[in-house]
Amino acid sequence: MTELVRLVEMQAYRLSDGASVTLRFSTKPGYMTWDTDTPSSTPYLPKVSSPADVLVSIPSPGSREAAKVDIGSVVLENAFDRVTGTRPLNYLLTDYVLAGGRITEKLVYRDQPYSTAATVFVGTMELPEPERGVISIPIRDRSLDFDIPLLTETYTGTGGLNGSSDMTGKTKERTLGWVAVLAPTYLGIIGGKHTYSVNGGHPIEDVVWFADGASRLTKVAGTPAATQWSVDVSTGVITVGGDRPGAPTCEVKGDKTGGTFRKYVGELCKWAATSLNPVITTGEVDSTSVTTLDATPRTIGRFYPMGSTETLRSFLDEAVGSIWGGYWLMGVLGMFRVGRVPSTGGTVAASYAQGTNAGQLTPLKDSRRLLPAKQVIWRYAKNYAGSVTILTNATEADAKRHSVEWLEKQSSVNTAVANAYRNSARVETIEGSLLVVDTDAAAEVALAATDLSTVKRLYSVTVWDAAPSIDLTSEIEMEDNIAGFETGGRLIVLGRDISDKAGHATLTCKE
Amino acid sequence: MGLGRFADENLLDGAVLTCDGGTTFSPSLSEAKTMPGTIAARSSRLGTHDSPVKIIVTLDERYPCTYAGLLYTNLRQSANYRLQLYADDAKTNLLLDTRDADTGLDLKVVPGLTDPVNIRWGASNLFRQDLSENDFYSIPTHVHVPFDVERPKVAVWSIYGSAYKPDRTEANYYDIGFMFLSDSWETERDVESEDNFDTGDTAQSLPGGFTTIEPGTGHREAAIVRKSVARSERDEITLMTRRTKNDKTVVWIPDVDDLPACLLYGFVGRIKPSQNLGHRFFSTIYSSTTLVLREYIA
Repeated sequence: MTELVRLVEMQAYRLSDGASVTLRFSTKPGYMTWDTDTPSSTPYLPKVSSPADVLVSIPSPGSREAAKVDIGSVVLENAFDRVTGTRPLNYLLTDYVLAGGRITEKLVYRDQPYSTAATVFVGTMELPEPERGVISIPIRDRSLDFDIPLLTETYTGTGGLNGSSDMTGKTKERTLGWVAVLAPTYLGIIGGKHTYSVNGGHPIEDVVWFADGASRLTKVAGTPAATQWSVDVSTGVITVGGDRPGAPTCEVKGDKTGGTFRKYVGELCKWAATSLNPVITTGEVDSTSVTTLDATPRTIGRFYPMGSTETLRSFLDEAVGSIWGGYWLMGVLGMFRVGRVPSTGGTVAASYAQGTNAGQLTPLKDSRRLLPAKQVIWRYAKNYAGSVTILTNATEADAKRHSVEWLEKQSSVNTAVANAYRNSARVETIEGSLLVVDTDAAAEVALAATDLSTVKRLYSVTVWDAAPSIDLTSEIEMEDNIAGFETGGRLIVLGRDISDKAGHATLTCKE
Repeated sequence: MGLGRFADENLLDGAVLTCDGGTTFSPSLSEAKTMPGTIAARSSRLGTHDSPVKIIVTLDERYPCTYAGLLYTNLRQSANYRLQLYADDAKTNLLLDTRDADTGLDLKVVPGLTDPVNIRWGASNLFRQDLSENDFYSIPTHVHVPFDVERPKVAVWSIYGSAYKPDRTEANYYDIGFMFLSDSWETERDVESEDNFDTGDTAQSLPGGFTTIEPGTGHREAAIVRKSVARSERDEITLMTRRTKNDKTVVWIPDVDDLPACLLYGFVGRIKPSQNLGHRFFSTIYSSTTLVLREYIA
């Protein structure tokens, strides 16, 4: 009796009284919890004919794709029972609402208690698709929950700090992290002075400088006179003495809600998902992944001007995309996770050899991205203000900063790659990074240059031991008789499936 | 060599199941009326010789019965059971009692089974001559009680002794997965009958001549071959297969006089699909028929 049984638990909404009920099913031949378990002596009806197939993957560094969790359908059998004269699962369709509810799938050995069951994935159910003898319930992963607007507060247009009437209904601007150059939102004349907002009324860390046409004005603490300005960091409101600036720009150390100035990739992602427009709770965040990522701190900044409609997902994609190999994932276990895809050369989690404990290593086709780069150009520190007319009394440095949209860091030309790949050696430009600090960008471009200087192919392999300890970003060693793996080659796991197909697991890896 | 019994038309469907005072069942006894056998009614206590756990089956009428079964249980080989059939609700008119008439002893779940020639000195089954440990736990624990025809109104099962959890440690509850009480078709099996075992394993052949085997749940199968039946028996078989078809649960035991063989070769099953449930005439009066059954676990 040492077979594995998959348990499926569904959070259903009972229509009669609105209660949330857990419905329990399993694969054949069924399962009952022990009297010592919680819940005790509870049956799991063996109605699952086909558990969901789950495939989770993170993008290869530089590929600009999103991390994916694909989940299929759970199929329940609903054959007519002549003894009772009914189909036993009809009540699922008539008495309960399944769509939108949580579904949890666990694996347990038949002769072990429920307390030993391992959670395989947590997902959300969609509308069941009944046929006569089966009910198919499509499952989706929770990352779709992140397609919500990032910013929800709007200007009421009633004047003062609520904005003028032409700002009615537009989302308030927001500055996350440290932004190099942005154009603040003009609120109008408040208290006789021209007033600007940079963070939608929320506290900020500081405004470093404020300029008109790239010519900096003087920062004062009290009421500003002409050519002076002051900032109230508790509301992110800038007050300018004198005439209205024609082309106002500033550098802002942004959002400090709750007293913490968040500027690193990991902490900003965690805060955006749990607090800004919350879609998960802090208990659903893998905090270890956040601290590990921020152990190599990278400061980012993103300014959302008034009227922005970007989603939370787009911010997370930009934030982790600002560093080389960054990814975020709403994992299959319902935990939010961030991290970097490592390079090979670390600790091997498992070793496989073709014919011994794994099938064949199959290269995947993606040739365009594979050509090594002899040089990498990293664009960072976006100027959100657009083009401004630069006044003659602006300094040279300020004028230069205001005349470009992006700063650039270039890696040195890799002559080995240039010589080997000749005319095919390319120059890779990384766009859209939210980094602001020069040294950070220099470090990242060096990482990218090293990673892109060799060919890193993608492979797929089916291992026969269900890859129990292998998670995304694990490193494995694979021996096969194809090029580069004759004596064993190292691979990083970027994707795997979880369905227990005869004890095998399919891994997608990169060199 | 006794006849085999093929029991269908489970009277439990319309019966009322209760238990004695001092015991409750959670999940309730209604789980014992339905398959799958893995979803069981679970008692709140173990029984003792003086205070066994009693399950009382009350029918709405007195029906003729020839088979009763306590199926998919977690009783150990050394546990005891007793079945008593009464003609009335007040349980005064006793029709059948499985206790030995002379000694009054109850039957054990696995009676002496193994030929002493096959028992090693010091083996776990040396003393009781029942099944060895690994063998016993590899087959579902069924208690089969075939009997000559009686018409009970009330059937009382009494159970006492130890029980096991799925990992073979001691349990302090009884699990009853399925119960059966019905009449049955009595038959012998002619030449070419079979007892089969479908391992349920999945074999995958790999390059290089290697094979991986993914173990599955084994299912027993039985082919009941009747080489020559006359009209009355043919009618009985025809009506029976019309009732059960391929979906209804039936119980098959091969030999009423050999309870150990019933445990090994009998099972809870269904008529195997994709076979011809027919009769082949080889004379104007006599026909032959084959019925293949397959074990049904869930």
